[in-house]
Amino acid sequence: MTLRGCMIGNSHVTCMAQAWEEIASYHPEIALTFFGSPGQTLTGTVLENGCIVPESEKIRRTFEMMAKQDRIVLKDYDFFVLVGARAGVGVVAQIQRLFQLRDQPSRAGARYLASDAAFRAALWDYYATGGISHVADLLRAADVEAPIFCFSSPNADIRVKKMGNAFSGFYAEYAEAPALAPLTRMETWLARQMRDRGLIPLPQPAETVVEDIMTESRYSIYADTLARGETPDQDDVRHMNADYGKLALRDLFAKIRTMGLQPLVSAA
Amino acid sequence: MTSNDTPYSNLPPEKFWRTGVAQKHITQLENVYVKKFEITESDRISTQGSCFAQHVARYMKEAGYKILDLEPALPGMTEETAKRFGYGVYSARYGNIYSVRQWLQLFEDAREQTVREEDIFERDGRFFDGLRPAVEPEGLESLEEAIAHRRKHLEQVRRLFRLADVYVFTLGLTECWVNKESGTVYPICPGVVAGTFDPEKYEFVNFRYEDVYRDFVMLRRKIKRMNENARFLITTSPVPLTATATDNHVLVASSYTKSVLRAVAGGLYEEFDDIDYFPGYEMATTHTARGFYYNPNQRTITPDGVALVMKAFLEQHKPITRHQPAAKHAQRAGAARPGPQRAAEEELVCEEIMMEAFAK
Repeated sequence: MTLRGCMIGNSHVTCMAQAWEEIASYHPEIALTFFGSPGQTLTGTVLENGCIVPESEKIRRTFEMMAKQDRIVLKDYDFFVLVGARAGVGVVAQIQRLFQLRDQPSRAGARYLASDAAFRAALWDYYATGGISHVADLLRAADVEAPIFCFSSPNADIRVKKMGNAFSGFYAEYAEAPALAPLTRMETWLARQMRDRGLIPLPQPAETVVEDIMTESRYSIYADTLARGETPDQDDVRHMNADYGKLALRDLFAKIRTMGLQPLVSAA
Repeated sequence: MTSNDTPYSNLPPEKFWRTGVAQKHITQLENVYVKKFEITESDRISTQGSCFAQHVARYMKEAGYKILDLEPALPGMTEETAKRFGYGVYSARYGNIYSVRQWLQLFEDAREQTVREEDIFERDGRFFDGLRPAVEPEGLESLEEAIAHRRKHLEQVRRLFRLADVYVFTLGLTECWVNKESGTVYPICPGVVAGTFDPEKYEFVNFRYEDVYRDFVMLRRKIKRMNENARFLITTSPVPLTATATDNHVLVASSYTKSVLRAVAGGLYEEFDDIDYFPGYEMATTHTARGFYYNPNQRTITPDGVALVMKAFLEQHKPITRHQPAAKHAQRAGAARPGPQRAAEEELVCEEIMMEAFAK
């Protein structure tokens, strides 16, 4: 009895695809198929006769490249995993960069105040306009019975704080005046919204997280990405490597076991 | 001049109603607006006023003018959401400023960083800034939070007054509600969006010509003290009142308001070299347009109407950007098309419209 999983994501799905190549033989009970498309380009997919179909040639090619299929036939899978949602505490931290939230007296130096309502609205918009949210909507529209798990895009590699580039600016203010509780409040709120829409959010693997909103460097270094292609980018602090992917898959499989998931697909 | 000549003898066609208006299609009027001064690429522009000012601000922004935004939206917010929270609507998050008195008050509050606790209104356990009640549609958690937000807002408004070179202001209303004790004017009657209406505490005021004129002159003087090169581009909103608190019919009340504001604009234009008047009001309201540029509610202006008005504006203040989307809108308006409305009415943020909820 093989459980068939469909992994759909942006560049962040790559680390899991790489990990799966290494560990698939240890999991004969599971078969995973990976569909990826970089950035937010998954918004360019539509639902057609029970399939998620790319609207552009570019996305079709990336589907072909990873999955050897140009469309996702929804009935072929027992579970779906969406990877790279614009959610998670790292995303929250980026959004709040210049803003101070309620209960953040340590950030009094921030230029602007944001109400919880405005912040939630921004967080929701950011999530909802992303490719992963779009695919989640398609799956919901298709009334799939299979569970839909969702990984957010990972927190940035902690190296970024020492890099002195524009990206590191996202975190500098936070590092100077951390105040985690409001960030967690927002992350929790968004996770609840996702659950209300039928998703099962899965957190970033605990051992990869440092300083609450960052990722331990060894899970990021030498990350190769779908977006960048061939050569690993030493300055890439956003993408994770296969070691990270293994931990994420470990957590996914643990969750599947906990749920006692059985194959829905008759062919399995 | 010969003995038969009069001062009208050699005037251009636009000086005569027949040749300037009656024989022209509304979209073909010429020289309705001739700018008084340049607005350059480097001028920092502050926008404020009643709902119609949002159109002017948007077109100018699209045309590449440097519209200041001192309270930008949170990253990730869509434009629609940002607007709902008062972000990106004007140069700071002050919401609609319907009267010159309100603008003057904002200047004073910003300069002195004055926050009055009594201007924070409560509704159902949520707290609203009574001076910009619509920018937080759900209100804030506590009085303290509302005060903190107002304080931070005023810091940015103070920066705005320091930075701006050109102020674009749309005169909207003469009617307003005032705190009897403090003299604070509110953009919307207390109790409509939040708070409770207490006749012992608040009173109705309908500003007269002298009041509006004097307020503007005073504000201009204060602004000029900070920046002697400051200039003002004023318009009168063509949007009629949603409701009146006078004893008059709303049609009569609206006519009074618009007449006063238009007269003040004319007076200021005549008096000061640094105040220009843009006649969007005339273009949108003229009977020769047969109400074509009003939405079915007979109150707000259609996108085509706005485009027509802004076409005249951008003919004088040329777009700075290369692709000029605003100019494209304006060209589109050049050909009037009867028939069904092409686009949905653009959603403007208008607290005043909330008054409609009270219409029986």
